[in-house]
Amino acid sequence: MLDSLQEGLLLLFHAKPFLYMLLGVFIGFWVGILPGIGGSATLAIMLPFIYRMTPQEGIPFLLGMHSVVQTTGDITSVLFGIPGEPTTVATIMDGYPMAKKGEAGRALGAALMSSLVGAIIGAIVLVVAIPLVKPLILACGSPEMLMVIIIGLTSIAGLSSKDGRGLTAGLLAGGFGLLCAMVGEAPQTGTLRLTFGQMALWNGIPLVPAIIGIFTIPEIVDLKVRGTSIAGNLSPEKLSSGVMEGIRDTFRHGWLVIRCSLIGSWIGFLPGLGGAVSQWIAYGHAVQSSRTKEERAGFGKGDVRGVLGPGAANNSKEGAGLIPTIAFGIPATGSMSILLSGLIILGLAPGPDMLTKHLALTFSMAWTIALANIITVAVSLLFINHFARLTLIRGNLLIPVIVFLCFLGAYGTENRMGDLLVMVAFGFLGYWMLRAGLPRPPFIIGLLLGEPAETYLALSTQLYGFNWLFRPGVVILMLLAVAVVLYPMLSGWRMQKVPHGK
Amino acid sequence: MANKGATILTFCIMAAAVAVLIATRQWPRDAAQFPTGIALFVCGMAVINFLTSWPGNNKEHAGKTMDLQLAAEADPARADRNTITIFLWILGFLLCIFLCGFPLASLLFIFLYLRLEGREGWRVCVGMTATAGLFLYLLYMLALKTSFRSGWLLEWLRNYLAASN
Repeated sequence: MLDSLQEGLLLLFHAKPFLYMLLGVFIGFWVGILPGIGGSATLAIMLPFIYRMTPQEGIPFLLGMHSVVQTTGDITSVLFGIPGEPTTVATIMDGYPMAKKGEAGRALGAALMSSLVGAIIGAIVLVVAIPLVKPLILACGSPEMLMVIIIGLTSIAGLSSKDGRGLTAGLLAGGFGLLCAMVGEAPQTGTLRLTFGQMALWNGIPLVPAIIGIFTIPEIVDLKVRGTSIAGNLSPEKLSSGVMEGIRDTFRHGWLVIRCSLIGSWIGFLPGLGGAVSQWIAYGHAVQSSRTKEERAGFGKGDVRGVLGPGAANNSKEGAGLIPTIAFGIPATGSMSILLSGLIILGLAPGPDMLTKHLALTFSMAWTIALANIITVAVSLLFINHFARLTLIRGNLLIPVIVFLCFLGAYGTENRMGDLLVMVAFGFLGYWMLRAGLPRPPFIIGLLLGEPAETYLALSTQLYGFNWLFRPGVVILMLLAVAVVLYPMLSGWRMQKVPHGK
Repeated sequence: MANKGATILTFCIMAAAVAVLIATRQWPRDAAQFPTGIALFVCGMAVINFLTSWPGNNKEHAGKTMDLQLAAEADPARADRNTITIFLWILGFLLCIFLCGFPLASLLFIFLYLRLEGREGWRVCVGMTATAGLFLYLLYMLALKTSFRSGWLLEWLRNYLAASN
């Protein structure tokens, strides 16, 4: 196995594969930064170009491009409050407020370094999991998947405010998100629900336009109301001075970064949950890990841990997501299914051969993920000061560009005019929620998890009756879900016990 | 304002949940079960939130949610005016896209916003509009082959000209 690991690295260091990887990284870098050009779409566009490549060249090209998209997507999320990718939305929650406080450099440093750590952990998980993969995958049936989704939903409790009213508001927002997720075809019967005769809604509410609208339009309104640049009237020196601090933050909160990377890997490993979920569960975990009331109150207002958690999770899921894809041909996410097509085009059949005959090639994938992210982070760190200075551009110059990019992002995903209406409608909703004190992250979690929750609940009940509740994996995950709910309550109770100032 | 807004939004969410409950009566049992459960949960939460957010009931809650805090230092009248202005620009851009198509609407929006709202000089307006146009053309139209539908107005004009010829 060690020989194959070494061989995998050497495969990557041949001239042509290395250059193809660099080309992929270059494309992925810009794809991540620009909102609306999704990593999956770009993978699909690039597929015709790999027909003449060998597997040793094609894999670094595709994977190099795909694995850095999340890393640079964080840059747009931090600087402008626009998700560069649908998987980098949670970074906005604290990254953008940090940019507004003049800590763009620190937020970028933290986002990039945690992304790198996450990507490396994801690659390690890929290497370590290969011998263990079969029993792990087989142990995860629909009941266990449902329990993972329930753990995701319980993070709503952590993402709501700390007082009772805030919890109700969070649960209401989460429930409303679940209700919105019911739009479209029912997974079991195919019945059209709440589509109002619109064919565009048959597949449910389009997620990318909804996410762009709900998060970005309120930020645009806020920028207009403040009438300044994103970072206000701060000096350029202050902006870029925190880069090293952000990098140090990653190691200062190293244990949190590792935990969030493992959460991302676990979610990435499970087929069907999608990459957008892992960032929110990681964010919820980061919030729950705060020890005092004051610490917790800082989340959503620019706490660096709110950047570190999602940053690590959305990168670590890539390596883990490859495990079911290459071992069983079960793509964990949409982009993995395109990558799977790429492997088939290159003449590689997913399955036991990838773990035996082509083991070195499989390990070269892990090396590609790690190396591509190291290169991207190094290049980004070189230009980070220039990136941070973008937050000093006058609001009046930025607003039309941000609005244009939002519309382009919403339209560019599916090329449907209806998506623009969805984006604007959710923009209004997001602004109204902010004014009314209803938190938006629980709403998004509900919207993301509603459909898979219903599907897996129906599957579990059909296959096992109510016996699925007693499966060992389900019991363990159920206890974990209970712990996730109880932890903030217990810590809140502990905080009340401790007198102020101690 | 925050409390009034919360009350109205909660009422709207509750109304939506009730509408879903009514709609579920026409769906098969398997398709209706999950939405019914969720709608009942939302109704319950809405009632609790409705009571707690009743104007004058809980003034301390504002600003406590774990989310973006809107600018508080701005003059409220000016803030409201700016909010309405930016929403009107966004709606205008949307309408313009449907009328003139995406590429033309984007150029018009950027130019007009910079000139009328931002009061920028001609050079900045033309330069930024041209850059955006070039970006859209080179990346989306030429490289990615994104298809942009022409707007209703342009289609009508084309049909009109074709008919008159």
